[in-house]
Amino acid sequence: MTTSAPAALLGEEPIARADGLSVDDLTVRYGQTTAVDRVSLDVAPAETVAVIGPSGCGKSTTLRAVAGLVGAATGTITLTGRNVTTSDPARRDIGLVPQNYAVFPHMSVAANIAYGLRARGVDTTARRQRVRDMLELTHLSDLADRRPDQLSGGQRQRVALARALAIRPDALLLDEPLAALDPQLRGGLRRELSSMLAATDCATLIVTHDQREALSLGSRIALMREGRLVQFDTPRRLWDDPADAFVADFLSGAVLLEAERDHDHAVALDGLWRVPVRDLQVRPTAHGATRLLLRYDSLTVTEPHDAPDDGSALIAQVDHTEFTGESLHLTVRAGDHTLGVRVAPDTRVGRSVALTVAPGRATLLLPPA
Amino acid sequence: MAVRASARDRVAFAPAWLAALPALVLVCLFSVYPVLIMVANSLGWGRPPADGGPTLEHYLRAFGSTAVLDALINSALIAGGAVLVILVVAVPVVLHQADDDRKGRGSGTTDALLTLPIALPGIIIGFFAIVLTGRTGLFGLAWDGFSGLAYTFSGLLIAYMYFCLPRILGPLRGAAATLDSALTESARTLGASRARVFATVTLPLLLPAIIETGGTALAVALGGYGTVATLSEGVRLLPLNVANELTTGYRLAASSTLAVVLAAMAVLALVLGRALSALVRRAVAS
Repeated sequence: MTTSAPAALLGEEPIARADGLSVDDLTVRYGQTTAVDRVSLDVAPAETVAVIGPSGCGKSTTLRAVAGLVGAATGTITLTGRNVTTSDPARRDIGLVPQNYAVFPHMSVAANIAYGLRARGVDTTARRQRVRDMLELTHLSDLADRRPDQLSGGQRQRVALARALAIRPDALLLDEPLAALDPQLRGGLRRELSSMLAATDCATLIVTHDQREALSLGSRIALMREGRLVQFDTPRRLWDDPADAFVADFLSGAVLLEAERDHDHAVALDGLWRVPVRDLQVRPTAHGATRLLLRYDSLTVTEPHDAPDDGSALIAQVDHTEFTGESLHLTVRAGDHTLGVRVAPDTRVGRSVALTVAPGRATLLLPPA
Repeated sequence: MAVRASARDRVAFAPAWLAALPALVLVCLFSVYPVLIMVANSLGWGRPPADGGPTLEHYLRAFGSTAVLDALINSALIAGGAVLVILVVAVPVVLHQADDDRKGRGSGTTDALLTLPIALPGIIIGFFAIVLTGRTGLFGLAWDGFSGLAYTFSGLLIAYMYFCLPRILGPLRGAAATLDSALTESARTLGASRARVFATVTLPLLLPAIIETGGTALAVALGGYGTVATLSEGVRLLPLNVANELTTGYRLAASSTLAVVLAAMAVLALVLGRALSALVRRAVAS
């Protein structure tokens, strides 16, 4: 954008990337409640960043602040070099796809898509052409004259997407894009959405509470909890090297235990469990502490009296057992520690179990020496 | 086989109208029967010797009388005008309230204050008007122009606006609350100004409710007797004439005629409001 040069001369702009969207130190308050607490993230042009977290973590508020629908208490929002923190939502050049799609019920599909172009005073010829292009991109050409109540949820989502993209936004915001759709349809629509997003070159921010959606749609994931940004990295890095136990649990249902390395053993749970390092994958971590990462296929269960007594098996009481299809979720107690672990669904579980690490299936995260 | 099945159905499930029967009896007794009598009286089918057979004479006399015509026109102007003004005032108010409710800032006190007049009989509202803008009214002390305003056309209009306020705010508020805020927010992010969003999204979606509420309020305002009875010095409205024909000289036929005209106007307002609203709803939304 041409405005970046004079803005830079004023010397007040944060050092932001010239293109894309960047959020610096954003805080949003609702009265006394801090909904978003000093969150910083950036989205490159043509990149898709997924903001994920449990409900109430501030992810939707972050999106609304970027769209200008709630005010920022502190921080800066920069879009293609323009500081838009206090701009009117109508002047931000942001395409918003709300959770329920908010397709105008009193307008045809084509009129919905043309809405932003009319508001911007685009002349008729250019407007018609742009609407045709958008209908084509979202495979809605045959439905151009339909009313929204004659459309399926997936089609409505595409109308909202076409309407948002028609104004050539600098950033595209999608709030829970698949949450309103039938679970059986989500997989296919997620891939469809992903390919449509790939065809655009604007910075895209997707808010979701669904791990699978975040992992598959986001080229980077920002994980939030209680208004704060917990980890912001590629899906692979979040999966392999979670910042804390919450990230591990939320993203993949994995257990992350604090551990210490004692020569050939990783010691966890205050010395109750000594896992031989030769049974573990060892990977460096960027998060400064030695930890043991256990996934649902990391552990095997044996009867306590069959277990080796060298400390490599964790003897634990079973408090609760839950069958979830792909695994068996056990809540177990060992000493003062309670942890939820996933084991193979066909495991036989008594009142107490001995948990051992399946060789090569668990990971020891070690900070670089 | 099919015949026997249907016979069994008839035994097993009592027809729906049977459940509605008590209500139907009440409606007939207190609504249909009096209306029939009223219509009969107005057409000269009343009890002889007062009435001598079917005639349109009462209607011809009513529409030939300037007093009745004046009252008719005044009724339409004052009820219609009050409803229109209050609709214009109410739309921004209910939109603002809906916005506040969404942000959890809704105030019960404002609600109570705005809808309080619904509990007040028309006579009390007329009394309010006298206290404030009567000949020795409170506002008259401040400016002489207010003194005696209550008995004029504008005074009545203001009193009727007060009368209509809660009857319009209440239903419209419900309609405004159902408007999805994501619609206006999306329109804003697409680049539309507040005014444009109002004209292209909010108003079209609220229009059916506005028309229906207006029709109902108009029907109620046309029949309102208390307010104009209290302020019945200068301007005369139709309900007053109906009562007058009865109380002064017990002219049952003339009174019935005016009552039928008044009822017809009110029902027409109600039905037109509903019908137009349904039409607009079909044209505007889903």
